[in-house]
Amino acid sequence: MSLVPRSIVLAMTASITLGAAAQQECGPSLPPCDEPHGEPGCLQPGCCELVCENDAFCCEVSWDETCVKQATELCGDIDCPNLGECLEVHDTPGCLDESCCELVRLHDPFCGYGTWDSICVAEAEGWCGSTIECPIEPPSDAILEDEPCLERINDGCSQDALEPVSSIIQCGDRIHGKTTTTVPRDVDWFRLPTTTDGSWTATLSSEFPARMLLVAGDCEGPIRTIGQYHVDPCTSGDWSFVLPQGQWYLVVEAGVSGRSLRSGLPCDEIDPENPPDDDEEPLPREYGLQYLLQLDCNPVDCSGDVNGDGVVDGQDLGLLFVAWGVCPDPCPADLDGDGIVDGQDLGLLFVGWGVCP
Amino acid sequence: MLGDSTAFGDGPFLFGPPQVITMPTPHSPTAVAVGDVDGDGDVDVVVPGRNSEGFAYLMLNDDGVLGTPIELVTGGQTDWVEIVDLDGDGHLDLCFAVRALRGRLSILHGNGDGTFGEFEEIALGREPRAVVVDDLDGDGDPDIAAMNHRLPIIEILLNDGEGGFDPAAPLVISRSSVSIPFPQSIGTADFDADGDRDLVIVATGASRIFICRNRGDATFDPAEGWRPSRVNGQIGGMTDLAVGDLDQDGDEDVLVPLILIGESSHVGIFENQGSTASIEFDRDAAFPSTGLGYAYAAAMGDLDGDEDLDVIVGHALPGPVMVLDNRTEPISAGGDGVIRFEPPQQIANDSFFRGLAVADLDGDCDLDVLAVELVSNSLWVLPNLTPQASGCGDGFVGRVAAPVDSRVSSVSPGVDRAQVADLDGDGVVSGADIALFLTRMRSGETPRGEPVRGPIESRRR
Repeated sequence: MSLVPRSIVLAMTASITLGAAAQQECGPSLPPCDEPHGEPGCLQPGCCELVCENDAFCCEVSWDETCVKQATELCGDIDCPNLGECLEVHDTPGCLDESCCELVRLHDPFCGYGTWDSICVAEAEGWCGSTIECPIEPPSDAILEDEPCLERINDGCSQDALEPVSSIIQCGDRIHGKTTTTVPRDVDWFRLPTTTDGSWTATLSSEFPARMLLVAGDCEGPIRTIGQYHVDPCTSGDWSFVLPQGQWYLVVEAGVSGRSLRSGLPCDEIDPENPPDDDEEPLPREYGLQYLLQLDCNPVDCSGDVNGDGVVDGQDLGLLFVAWGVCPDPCPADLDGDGIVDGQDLGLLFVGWGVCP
Repeated sequence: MLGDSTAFGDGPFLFGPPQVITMPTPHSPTAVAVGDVDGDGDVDVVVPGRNSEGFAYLMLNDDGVLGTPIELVTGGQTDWVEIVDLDGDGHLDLCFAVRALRGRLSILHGNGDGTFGEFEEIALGREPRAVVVDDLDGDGDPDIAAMNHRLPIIEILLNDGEGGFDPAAPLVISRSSVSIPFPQSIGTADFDADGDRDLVIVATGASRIFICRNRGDATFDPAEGWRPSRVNGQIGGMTDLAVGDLDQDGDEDVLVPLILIGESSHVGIFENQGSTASIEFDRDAAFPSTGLGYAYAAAMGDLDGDEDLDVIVGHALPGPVMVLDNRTEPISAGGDGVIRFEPPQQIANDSFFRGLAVADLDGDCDLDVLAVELVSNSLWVLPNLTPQASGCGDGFVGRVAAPVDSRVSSVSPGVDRAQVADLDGDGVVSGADIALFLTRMRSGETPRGEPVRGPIESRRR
């Protein structure tokens, strides 16, 4: 290391390079900002510019230990871009394509501080270069999932629930839902109805990286997941499956093949108990939070089983009463299909009372 | 001396003064395993750890005396080791789980004389914390199941008979309400008595054990997750497991330490109901282990020779080692089969006993207790002096291990609750979060190369 003061070196260099470009470009041709090197500038443009505004030596002479120290202090996490192709596994974090690197590490922070492993590569393949914005326009007959980000009305076995807390989905339903990674993560559990056969198709369109899971059991155990299906952002997919006997739940959450995501999809609602400060930057988010889930299956012939749980009971009676009167399609409580929930439907419910065949 | 009214196996456990072997370099020992790696007929000791140089330590047993710790180069921080003959050459090999973001196994092939070749690596996923070696595909050679702490994936590696490993279909365990179940410990047993080895995994973030039933060929049924017994309504955090037939009914039960907030630490038991068609556990039984510290490590062994499995529990912050005398009266002997223990008895105390093992170290025909102490960087050997109901042995044979530290227990630190956040992201700070906090602890430091970071959105809050 030179013992000449940096300011003098800078002045000498400036005089020598008179007429040449005064400043080295920051960018991919250079080594990372957290490594000292002989050339001026460094790989990460944002960090490079920030440091050089503070200390021109770093972009005009060399990126020395002092520049590295400043980068560490000024830039915080120096994750993206970084060495290595985004579509190739490498042992360092980040990758060269800045936007791709940022997108992946936003949703999978490991890729920004760990290694760019095969999971990061798969995420880059699925996400980078694809559409980011694709607002879902729900059809008029879609049922709103209607769970605010900060409430927990269908989150299954989260926290210490004794039984899965779920919403209901019926054959033919289309659910317009939303899920987030804000802590605690939002996952949406839908209890599947009883059917005459075990053949199902779930179609999921999603604004974000999403996956569906099939889960059965009791929260205390055993609880098991028998299948999963993931959908890349701004795409849709049909998942056909056959279920064993038992009560099953279809779960929608932010995720990729083999794992859930827990970052990058913050809630877009304001928490009334913890409102943001006026000067608080919104959390970064690239994708939307909405999805559209459609379930195709053959409902069991069990007149009166309004909620599809395989039993005609007081819950169905309650659902019938709350739907009393004119009831446009879809209207599960309109058992005779005449557009009105009335005494005829009540009679059909009573004659079917008990466990479905 | 014991009075006439006290039968062998009924009295308190008797343990000699601890022999404390301090590692020569800062090591942060994480586990302890035993095996006769030099072929001289007694068990030797291997201690993995989280030192920055990537060493583990081997202590050869010379007629009951543990030798000076010998460095083994593993290539990274190691959280677990299995001692087994992987390549079929008749010598024990070492298989370390390297706790790194670039996860891998480090295998050291034994020469049979206590020396080993250079480590070989097998790439794994994100931060392997534990590994189990067992014959998973029924072909007679040992296979590997390795878990990644930062993925809900168990990787299966099948042995070709000569120590080469081919990856088989990985197992996904999950609980969808929390994104990563943070698996921490793994074991094998034939839970459904069908003749093959099933897997059991403790997932600290999910506060569940997952059972994966083997189909006989190292493919597995979907994992089934079980919560532990609730203690006053609270679901405990879990970090470790031990497997054994606690009620002597012929099937394998699972024991877990339970980290609780505002309650004494407990051990919880998943009592196997012996079903062969499915796994059925009775989870009613939980027993206090101590009011001091948090239960972290668990082991089983017949410490008093009465043919049942007693329980050993290591605790953290502060860290007593407690033993619980099994007093179950098995149905086969005319009893009710209900699992019972004597109140816990303390046999050691320091700051953070992170790993346990039992073995007859001194050759006196009873099981001694080995415990690694994370904070003081040491291995504790607790010699068993308990009169054995079996009549085996003649009590402790006094020997002096070298090097030995005469030790006075340090003032044990407690957990700074402010450091414990919602690490599993389920929206509440619970025993599971303390458990995760403890699993990441390394002598009070952040583990090297492992930024403790939450999701980006919460970091920027």
